[in-house]
Amino acid sequence: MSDVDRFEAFVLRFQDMVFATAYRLLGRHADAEDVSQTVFLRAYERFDQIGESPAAAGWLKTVTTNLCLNHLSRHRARFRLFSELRPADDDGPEFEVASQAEATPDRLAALETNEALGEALARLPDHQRVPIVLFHFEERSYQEIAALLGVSLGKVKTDIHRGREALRQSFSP
Amino acid sequence: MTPEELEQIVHQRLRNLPAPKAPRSLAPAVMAAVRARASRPWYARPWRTWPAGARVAAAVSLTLLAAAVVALLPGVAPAAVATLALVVGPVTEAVRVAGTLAEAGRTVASSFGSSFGPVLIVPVVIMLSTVAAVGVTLRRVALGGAY
Repeated sequence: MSDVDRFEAFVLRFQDMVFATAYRLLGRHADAEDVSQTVFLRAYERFDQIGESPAAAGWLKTVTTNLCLNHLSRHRARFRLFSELRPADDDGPEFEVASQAEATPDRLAALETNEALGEALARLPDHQRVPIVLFHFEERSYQEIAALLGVSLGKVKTDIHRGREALRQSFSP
Repeated sequence: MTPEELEQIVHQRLRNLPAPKAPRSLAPAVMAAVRARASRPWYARPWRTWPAGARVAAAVSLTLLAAAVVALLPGVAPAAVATLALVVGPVTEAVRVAGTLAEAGRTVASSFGSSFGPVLIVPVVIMLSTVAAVGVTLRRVALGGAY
């Protein structure tokens, strides 16, 4: 089996994990796919070191997280990511899905499903979704998240709490 | 609902979400890019993936090229020597201090004789190190390295 064939097996083994991590952090399908590709191309450059390593999954997750944060930082102006300039009580629309959701009974019913929660998570503002994903999926502490994002501990706690409140609307009757 | 209860509920709900699946296009796109890279000649790939011999040859060539530039271009050699002195100077000074300390240690050991030597060697080394550290600090802080 050639290196390329071994790497293809590696990609097939880890592609769902890498894509899921990227999609949860970015909330956008196309961006998550782009980042996932970059992650695997970096993995290919180091395949001789990580190919058979039990730490491969951890390495992939770390690289994915870092690339996603870089990606979001580059679009900071557009998405106003982690902006400390905005007043703490002025985060704009907290939850687009919830604000649009109360229109029809069908929509309310759909919000009770996992799909609705996943959609709600993806539509959270970046500055709420990213710390929520890092906390609940990547099991990072508040301190780690604050250090990773370069924001204050208080802001991380506030953003996560507001994000949870917004998500709650997607599964509360 | 308390914040702790909200955290638990949201955590459970989120962890029960099915993980998003990678799109079918991901693996083929990655492998197309990988095959394109793999088909490039070795010299068009990243340096650290070159064959070992090629890497050594490249390093030697670059060193020779740098040496030639330094030797042939006027003004480059003095600048290179000055830069080298900046790097080598502190190392030379450290070697000189270590030599002095070693000489002092030998003198102390010989004056105390073989019976006390093994017992006294540790405190003597500690004292000498302390004196050296104080001296270096004084030279840098109080005297600004002027002497």
